[in-house]
Amino acid sequence: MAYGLQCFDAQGRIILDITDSISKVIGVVQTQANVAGSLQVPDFAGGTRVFVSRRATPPSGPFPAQGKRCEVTVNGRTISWTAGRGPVVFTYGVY
Amino acid sequence: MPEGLQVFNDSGFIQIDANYLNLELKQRGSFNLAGSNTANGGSTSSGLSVTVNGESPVIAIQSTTFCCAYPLSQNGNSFTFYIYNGDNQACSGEYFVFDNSSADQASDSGFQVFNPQGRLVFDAGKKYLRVLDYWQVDDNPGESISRDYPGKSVAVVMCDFGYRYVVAPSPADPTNPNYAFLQSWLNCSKTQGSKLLIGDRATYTNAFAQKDPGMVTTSEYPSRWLVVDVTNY
Repeated sequence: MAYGLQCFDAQGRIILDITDSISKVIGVVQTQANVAGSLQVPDFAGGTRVFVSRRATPPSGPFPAQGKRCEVTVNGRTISWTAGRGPVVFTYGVY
Repeated sequence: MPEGLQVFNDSGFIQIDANYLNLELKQRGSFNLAGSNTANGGSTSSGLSVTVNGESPVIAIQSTTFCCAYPLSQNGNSFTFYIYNGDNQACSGEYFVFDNSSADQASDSGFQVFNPQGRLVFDAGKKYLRVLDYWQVDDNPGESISRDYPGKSVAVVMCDFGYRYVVAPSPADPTNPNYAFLQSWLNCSKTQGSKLLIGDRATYTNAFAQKDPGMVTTSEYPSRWLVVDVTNY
């Protein structure tokens, strides 16, 4: 690290290094059943990547295609989701 | 932000300011699992449940065989996850539960950032979710595909199940339209230090099941993975 900010714990281990990417949560989305949507990620800066965190919904038994699942995808600055069988909550941010 | 602290990364993006928000490590633990036997309809499924209290927790795992972790149930603020071993070999691993960050201080010393209301928004003593990658696996990964994050100890949050299945007439009763022969596979993850591997593992093999009118013969869904850095966690 040529410059920046580093923090160490009591054992002298680096616990924060600003030259690393620090993840930052931007917001939370709750989708509606059977409704697709999308959003532009605010506070977006060039070179910063977008992530989506959600708890995966298990397939419903051995024949999961009986219910459509909500597919959340990231393309550039846009997060999109397809119409799923039930509502989905996901957190999005940058890293 | 008229006053206060702003920290930028090399790309000029504000990493920390008064609006900082992230998930933080709430709980961790280790596990040992026997191998699963997925033949003949998943005759032995090996896994364990992990129950945590929280607001909106996610679970990341490290495992020595191909596993996946997913939510089983929610009862109020109690969330139960299931860690499934997709291999027939025994495995060991660790899990890390992240949830919404609280305003509690990690300690009375160190680097901290507060918002204008005096609420703690960043504390260098806390173990935040550090994202390394968001990986979508569109195609069948087969035995395994991998990505390496040198110098990091990686864990992975499964954000979407990746699975595929094939339905065919039952060999034992091929003319019976009410029964089907099913094979299905699930994407699972395995970690080796800084390396993350995603592999396709059978779940139901040679299973006979009652056919549903809505069932299609073949289906395939991509998996999505949040790769996180748990170095020194």
